[in-house]
Amino acid sequence: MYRMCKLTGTYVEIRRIAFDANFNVFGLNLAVEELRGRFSSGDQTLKQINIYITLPPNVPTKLFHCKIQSKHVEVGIKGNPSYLNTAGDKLEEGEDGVKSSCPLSPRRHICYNGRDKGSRSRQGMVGLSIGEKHFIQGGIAQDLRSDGRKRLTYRPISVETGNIPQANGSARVKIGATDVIASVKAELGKPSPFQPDKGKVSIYVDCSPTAAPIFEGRGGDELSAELSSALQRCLLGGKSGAGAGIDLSSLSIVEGKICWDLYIYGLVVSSDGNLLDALGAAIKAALSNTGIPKVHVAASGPSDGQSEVDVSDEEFLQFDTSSVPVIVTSTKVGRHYIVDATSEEESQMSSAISVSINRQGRICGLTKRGGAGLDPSVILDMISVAKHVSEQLMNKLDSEISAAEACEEES
Amino acid sequence: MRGLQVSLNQTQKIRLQRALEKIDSFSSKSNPNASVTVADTIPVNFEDGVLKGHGTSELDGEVVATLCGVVERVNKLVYVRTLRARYKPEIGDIIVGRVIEVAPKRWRLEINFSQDAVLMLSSMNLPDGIQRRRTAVDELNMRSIFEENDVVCAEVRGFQHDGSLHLQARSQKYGKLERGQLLTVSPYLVKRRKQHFHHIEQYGIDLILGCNGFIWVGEHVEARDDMIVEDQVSTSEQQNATPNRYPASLEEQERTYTPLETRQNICRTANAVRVLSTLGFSINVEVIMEMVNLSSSLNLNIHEMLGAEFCVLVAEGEAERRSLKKKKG
Repeated sequence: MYRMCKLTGTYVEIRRIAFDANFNVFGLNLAVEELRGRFSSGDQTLKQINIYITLPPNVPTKLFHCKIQSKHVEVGIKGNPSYLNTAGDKLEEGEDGVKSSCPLSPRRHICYNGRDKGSRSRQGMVGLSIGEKHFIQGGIAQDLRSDGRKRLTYRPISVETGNIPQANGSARVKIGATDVIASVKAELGKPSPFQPDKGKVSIYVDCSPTAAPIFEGRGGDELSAELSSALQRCLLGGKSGAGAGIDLSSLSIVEGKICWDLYIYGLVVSSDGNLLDALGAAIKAALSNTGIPKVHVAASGPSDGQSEVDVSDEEFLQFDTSSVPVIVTSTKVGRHYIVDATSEEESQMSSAISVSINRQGRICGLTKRGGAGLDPSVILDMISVAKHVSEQLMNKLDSEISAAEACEEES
Repeated sequence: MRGLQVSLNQTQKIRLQRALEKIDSFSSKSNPNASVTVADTIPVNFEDGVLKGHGTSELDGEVVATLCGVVERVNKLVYVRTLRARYKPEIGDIIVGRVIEVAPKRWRLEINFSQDAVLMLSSMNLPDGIQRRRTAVDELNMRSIFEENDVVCAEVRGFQHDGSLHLQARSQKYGKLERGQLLTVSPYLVKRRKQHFHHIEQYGIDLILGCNGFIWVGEHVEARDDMIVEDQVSTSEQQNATPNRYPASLEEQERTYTPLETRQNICRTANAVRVLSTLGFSINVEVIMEMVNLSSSLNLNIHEMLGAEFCVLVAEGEAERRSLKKKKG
């Protein structure tokens, strides 16, 4: 016996959904055994969410209580403490406590684009049938993915540098069918008063509509914001500047007065999963391709801060990228972790952790995505897997970058 | 090379170049005037009136091509046929599509065409196999046959007045495809043949080459005869057999996964199709099987089939094959 609760709407904001496949304790004691594992699926399309809930036997549907609002979901049987209630902060006894931790955009957990285009986009995100999903999960479980890779193998990576001559540095990285371009522009600016001896770096990502039709108009904003903040977290460290992968003090010219502002722009040209890793690699390559003009500061500037700065056009300083970390995303599907997921595999993921690791094997930043909660031991496991993979990735990237730069010098 | 995602080193580039040139030299030079690019004049005999078809336009009294392609002439009609055209369906084509909508008495499938194809409920065999009129109950149970995002194999039955396709899936070999993967290639790579369903016995896989460019590679499934199954259903009910539902718990799912041996063959075949698609060679069963045998004889890792070396080897192999064909014919 089941009751279907259907919510159609153009804009749904649900904060912190805290369910997983194993409901543990329900209000009614005699319903405990029956309800365990009975929650089947929630499928979702771009227009509506259908949640299918099987009630314990002998409970008439009239008593079923379900309230879905823009910030609050409540499910239960009338007359009993509600089974699922995201409003309260207290954990129900026995619940896993699997409230999803820190999604990147803290307000929204599921967010749909407000526009309803009516017709389905043709080459857009295609759904997968149950048979195909089963096949993908089987492949991951048996260590043989759809294109023959093992769980921890990357797709072929190709790097080109110097694509954009007007920028100070640029690079284009292709991982399989994912294609991203990063460019670095350096401008003179004033350092922030809290850190007068450090330069400033800001990272912006834009998802081009050529990557997927849903990115058209405002559709890509959500993903762009998520990627930008993840990259900032992974490469730039905390607010105090600690843990930054990029050495900001090398960007300072005159302490307290003039520094270099680096603007790093990323553009997603084609998206087939694993955007974060590709963007991290592209930024690393672009930074190694960056030439910062040499600056001569006139010594006789007045003390109230108007120094003469002469930016040379000829001489360039190569940016030091030996400490720029590389980002490895490990995705959990079923019980196993894979690295470098394609977009089909990402649609099956329960959660993903992106770790940025530098050459010394230290973690510079950490981001978790995905709706399912993770046990802390699982997180530590995924981090160690990512660390193991990062060495090979770092070496591969370095060799590709130097090959690309050699290629560029020839031409 | 359009879409070639692998980076080749110098020697590989040279080898690939040479192989492709060799292949070009074997292509028929019967009518060098036949291929045109945009703004090329089409040689036309103006004495008989000429009908200007698709891809042509009149400019300064001359017929000029507006597309890149091959000139085709049919009586008085002159038109330009592009090479990389959208899929052009014909009656009797076998196609593979994905259900995008369950509508009253029909399913809408996406088939890489300008419009969605329609599969009527009456063109589909009912699960119990009896031939009867479809009732309202059948209509309500449509989702138990095909759901959204299911991959379906069907045949083109005809065209509707607005140009969209009508499909039928009445035979046992058509229907839902599970336990495998779907690949998308350009439609012009799959030529029409007598056989589009291939059951590769030695590997235990099914290969379906849809004319619309969707290719299905999957585990072999015996085409069941529904009439016989109906007698067995009552006996097997105690076993709680619902073969179409995937079990929910993780352990049961693990038991129903495709065996590793078959999975390796599926992945090899899929990678063979991918390489052929990036190189732009026609896809048919013989070529695919040759590539799979080549890769296993070289003991290549399945993943390395997508690498640069294998790509170049395939191009060279194709050049060889065409030179042999030329010598024979």
